Amino acid sequence: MVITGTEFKVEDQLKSKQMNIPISIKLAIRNVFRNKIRTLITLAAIAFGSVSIIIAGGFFEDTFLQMREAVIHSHLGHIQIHSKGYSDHGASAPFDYLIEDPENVTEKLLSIDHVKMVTPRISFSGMISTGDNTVAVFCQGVQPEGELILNKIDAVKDATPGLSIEEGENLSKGGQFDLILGKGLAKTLGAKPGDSLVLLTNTVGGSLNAFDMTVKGIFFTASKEFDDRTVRLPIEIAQKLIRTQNVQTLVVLLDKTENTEKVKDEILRIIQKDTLSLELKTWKQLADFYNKTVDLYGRQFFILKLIITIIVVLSIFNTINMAIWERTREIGTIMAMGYKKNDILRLFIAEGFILGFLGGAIGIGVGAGLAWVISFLGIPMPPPPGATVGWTAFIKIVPDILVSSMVLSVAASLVSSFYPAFKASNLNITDALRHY
Amino acid sequence: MAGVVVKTEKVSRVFYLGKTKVQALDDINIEINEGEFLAIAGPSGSGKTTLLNLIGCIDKPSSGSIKIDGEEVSTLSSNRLADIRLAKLSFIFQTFNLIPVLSAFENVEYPLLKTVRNRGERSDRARASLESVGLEKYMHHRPDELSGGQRQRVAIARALVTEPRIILADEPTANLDQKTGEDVLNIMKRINEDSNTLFIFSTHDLKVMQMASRIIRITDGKIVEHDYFDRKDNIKKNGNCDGDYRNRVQGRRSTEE
Amino acid sequence: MKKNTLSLAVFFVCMLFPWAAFSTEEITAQKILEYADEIRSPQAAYRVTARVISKKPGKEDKIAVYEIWMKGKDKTIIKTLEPAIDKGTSLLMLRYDLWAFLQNISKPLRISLQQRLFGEAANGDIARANFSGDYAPVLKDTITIKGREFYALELTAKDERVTYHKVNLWVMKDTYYPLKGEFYAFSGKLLKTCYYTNYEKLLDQIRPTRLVLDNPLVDGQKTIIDYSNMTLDDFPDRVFTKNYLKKLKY
Repeated sequence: MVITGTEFKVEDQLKSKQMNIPISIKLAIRNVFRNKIRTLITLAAIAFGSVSIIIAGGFFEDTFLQMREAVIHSHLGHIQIHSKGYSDHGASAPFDYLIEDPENVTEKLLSIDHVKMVTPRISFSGMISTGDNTVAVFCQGVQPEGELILNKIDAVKDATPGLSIEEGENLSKGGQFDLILGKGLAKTLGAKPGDSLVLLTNTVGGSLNAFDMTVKGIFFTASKEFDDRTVRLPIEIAQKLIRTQNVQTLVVLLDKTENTEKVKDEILRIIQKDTLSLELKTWKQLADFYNKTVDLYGRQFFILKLIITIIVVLSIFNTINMAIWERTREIGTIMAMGYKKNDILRLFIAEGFILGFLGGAIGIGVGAGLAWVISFLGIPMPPPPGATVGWTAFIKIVPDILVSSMVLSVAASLVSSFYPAFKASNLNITDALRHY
Repeated sequence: MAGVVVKTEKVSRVFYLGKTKVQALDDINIEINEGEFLAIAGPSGSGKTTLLNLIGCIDKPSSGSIKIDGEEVSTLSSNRLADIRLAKLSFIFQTFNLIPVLSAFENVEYPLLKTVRNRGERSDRARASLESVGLEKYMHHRPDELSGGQRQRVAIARALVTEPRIILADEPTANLDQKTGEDVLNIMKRINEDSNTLFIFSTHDLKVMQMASRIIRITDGKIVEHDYFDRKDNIKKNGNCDGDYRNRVQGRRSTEE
Repeated sequence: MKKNTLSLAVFFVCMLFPWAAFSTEEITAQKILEYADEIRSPQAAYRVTARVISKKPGKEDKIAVYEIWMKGKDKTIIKTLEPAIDKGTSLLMLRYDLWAFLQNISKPLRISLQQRLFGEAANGDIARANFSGDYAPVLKDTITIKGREFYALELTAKDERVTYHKVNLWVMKDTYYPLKGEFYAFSGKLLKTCYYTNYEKLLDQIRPTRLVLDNPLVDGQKTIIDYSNMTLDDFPDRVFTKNYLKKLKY
């Protein structure tokens, strides 16, 4: 059989300038697996980097979640309502900023979607006296039933409640002259459940007042700082002690933390509509330590991602570079056929992309799988700074992190393969053909 | 003789190795016609490969003019040269230069990917090309599953599939044993005769020169001889002729008679 | 100095009639302080009524009335007479220790001199009368205001339990009437300013009968202490004990 023909004119032959996608991908894939061991090691490096990001990121996310829920459910709640001006001036004159008509406000709050519960509080500084010793304390007058609901953490598996009783019992409904002490505070005072203490403070009017109280129990929370200085007593007793009918804070608990912004907007709307003299703060605005921790970990995570990306870039660069070195003669041959610089460029970038994509996909698979297994087992953790008890860590599988680890792998692969591919496309054909 | 395909005028090529200037080609003036089976002969370092590369548009002359089908190529951009190579030129290499991850069929198909969109058409042409070198049974073998001779035949099929104006072969039999080399050469000769495709070899292989319709001899970058042999084996002499060469020519003629 | 122009004016009116003269010996910071103390309160055992008005801008004035028993520098009892709800709350000071006795609590409770008693008045402001035992004085300067000369003393606490770490006290020359005091915490923060005014004869001496305690942070927030009914009294020592505290009659 003989090929005849000048049927195909030059113009027709130059009709399609692009490579057909499926075949070039086929070629790129086969090239990638040309040297199986090298490719496998490169994929392993990429996947390892990917898995590290997924596990570390998932660990941090879990830490944030647990911290957040702990701080919300021990004392912050999701949203706190105060009298207007409290956050600016309340520190120096707390009793000047009390919420009048708290029942009315509570009713309005309960009518909002996603609001699970509203509980009142009044806080003030006082002293506990054991006769010859007086210790300055932070007093919280609370509604025991409301606080119990607040303390339950639903969002985290097997979580310690926000506030737990170590010895004795928690406050109960009704206005008894009971108080519960934070763990550190109880230790300082040498107090046990059943002991009598005197709680002393200045009233809203400025005069001295004191009550004989009984220690009902000793509590602990996630915050050591809180436990070292806080006393909780029934709000009715607190009100009698400082001589007021009003409350200072209304703590709002939601069904899910994710609804905080939504409910915040709704409350602001109501405050404006009914011209109430109130202000609100979300847990995020109040959780200073949490915010600082998220910021710190966020930076660390960023550095980690950066380091891993650099390593991935270097390993892909090395792999592609070596491949080009080995295929220099082949590149010359292709260009002699009439393939252009751009075609060569695209070929090697495609190979880099495939490496990054495959590596990233393996990373996601292994990372997600590993995260699931670790989460199933749980990691026992020691108490973090400022806290009193240890906790169980899990690895959250965060879709954002999975996506970003893939994006990072692919981006890294494109970036790193660009320079070698560019150099390959600019090879001198005759030199390339002479290459070993 | 049919039309002039390649015309060079006062072509020279200079290389710089560091500060040293090397004159690879000097004042090359040739015309090559359609259908020739041309050998550019000379010892190593004579410049024969350089000349082949210039004609093949994978290198540019330092001075002078090269025209292919009347088009001046010495001043074209590398992209434009790539277009010309795609349309008109094919190469066959001493080291075969097949793509190892592709099968014989896919290797032959490869140059068509750029120009033929229709998959069926590509497939037909590739298959036909392989058949013409007798390797249709080995279509799906990878190069590492083929012998040297088979690989070169795949390379020939690849060179043919684009229906080029010129096929340039740089010492195509140098890596083959004598018998295989002969077979490969015969295939190329047959193709040249059947399709009138211009073949240009750079070689120092006697067998190639014996089959050539014309020999251009190069030494130290300069052309020293032109010898023509037309198809009816008439000797036409052009320029000087050294003794050895004349004997060979005469020897051949004597066996024919 | 410009804030309390009224007090200043009253002060100067009183200054037109010096009622006591002191010897013209070489004067030391310590002597200045001691004379100033003698002006402010008798150095023998006495009792006095203090009416304290707490003023806050935009709010109603709050009033408390105390009866103060003083024996020497280190024994004081403060009985709360008004408001009615606080009546019966007693304070006992022995040296730098302070106890509060509330009617509903069985035993006395330890509190501190720095703690607020009422308004801007700290317990120590009312309970401890003399500066000279508590503070080491240094005469910083002599300044002239409206033609009269004043000693500017800087007082540093001798004991860490004393109410304030540092006091700047301005005392008039020759008469030793205290004009103004600035009270500082250990951190250097100005806690309050006190103006000694309404100089009147109280128990055979011209004394400042009104103290105006000014909060430096809030304009218009101040506490006024008016002293009256100052009489000498002979209290037995056993009165100034924790056990006696619950027996105090109201």
